[in-house]
Amino acid sequence: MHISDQEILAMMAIPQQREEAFKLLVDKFSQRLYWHLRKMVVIHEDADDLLQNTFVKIWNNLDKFRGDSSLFTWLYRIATNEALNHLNKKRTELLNSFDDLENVMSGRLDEDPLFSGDEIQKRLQKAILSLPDKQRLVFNMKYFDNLKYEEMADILNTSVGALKASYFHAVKKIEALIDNELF
Amino acid sequence: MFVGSEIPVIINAGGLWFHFIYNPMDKNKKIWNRELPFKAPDGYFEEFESKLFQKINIEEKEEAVSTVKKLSVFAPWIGMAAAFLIIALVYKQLPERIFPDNFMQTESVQSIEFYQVTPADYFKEYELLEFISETESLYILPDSTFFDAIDEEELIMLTLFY
Repeated sequence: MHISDQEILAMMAIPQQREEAFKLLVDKFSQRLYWHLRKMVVIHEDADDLLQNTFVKIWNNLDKFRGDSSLFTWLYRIATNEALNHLNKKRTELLNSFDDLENVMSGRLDEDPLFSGDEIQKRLQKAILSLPDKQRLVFNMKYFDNLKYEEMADILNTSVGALKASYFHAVKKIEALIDNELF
Repeated sequence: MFVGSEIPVIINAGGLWFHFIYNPMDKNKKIWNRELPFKAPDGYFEEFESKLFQKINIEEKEEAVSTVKKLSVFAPWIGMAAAFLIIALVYKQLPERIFPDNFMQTESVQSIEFYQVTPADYFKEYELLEFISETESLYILPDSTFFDAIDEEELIMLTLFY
């Protein structure tokens, strides 16, 4: 059953239908948000935790959604913040360790039974992991999700120009990394 | 599915087979597979909703418990503050209401000399100092409040020459 964002929001406004509307929202957006988070944190267990936290936050803050942006943008923004906070927290936990987060995630990628790609896709993922978080976010949103720069600018609260520059640098870095490693 | 002039290329490097899509129109540009190489566990999205609602219920219960806990910490203090307030009100208000005549102000204050002018006010501080030391032959010791503004060096000089 296809249901529009407006219909979901209209149901949210009625207290008796709030839970039902939230279920529809979860049903409609959980997969997209999951893959967005999974690309950022790589491991399924982390993506699952973050997705649950994201929806709990959405549930607790539904009244605060003012409709300035689209529902999808708002949800994406909450999920993105969750992912960035999670990565920062992990990085802080590793401060006293010799490892850095990129190495840890790269190692976990090697052992991940839910990684379904081939060797070259793994190398691409490892190259993406070497990017700074925000650049990685921009790269993933553009390259894999094929979002428009305008949509990304709304989600990340930045300018289209900055996003284009960030994506350009990310592509150059990844190309350089893969070229040096493979060819 | 390849677009325009894109060519799938498979090469063997170090015993491993790699594939990428090569676009000769764009010089040396390699277009990598945009398919996401991850999968979710079977049935994950079907079970997600029930798992999420379990978490929401648990968090709501925990929040209710923590609110009760916070209240139980502050309740005795709030109770005590309220009791003191009531005692203060009773102490202040009750006698006034029972014996209103005793608390009626009968005399009005016409003038209060809250500041009495003394002869000392006409002199400056150093004049007072001179006056005291000349007439009474008093020694003002370094710990006197008059010496607060004198620094250590000046004190040493005073000790040496006076």
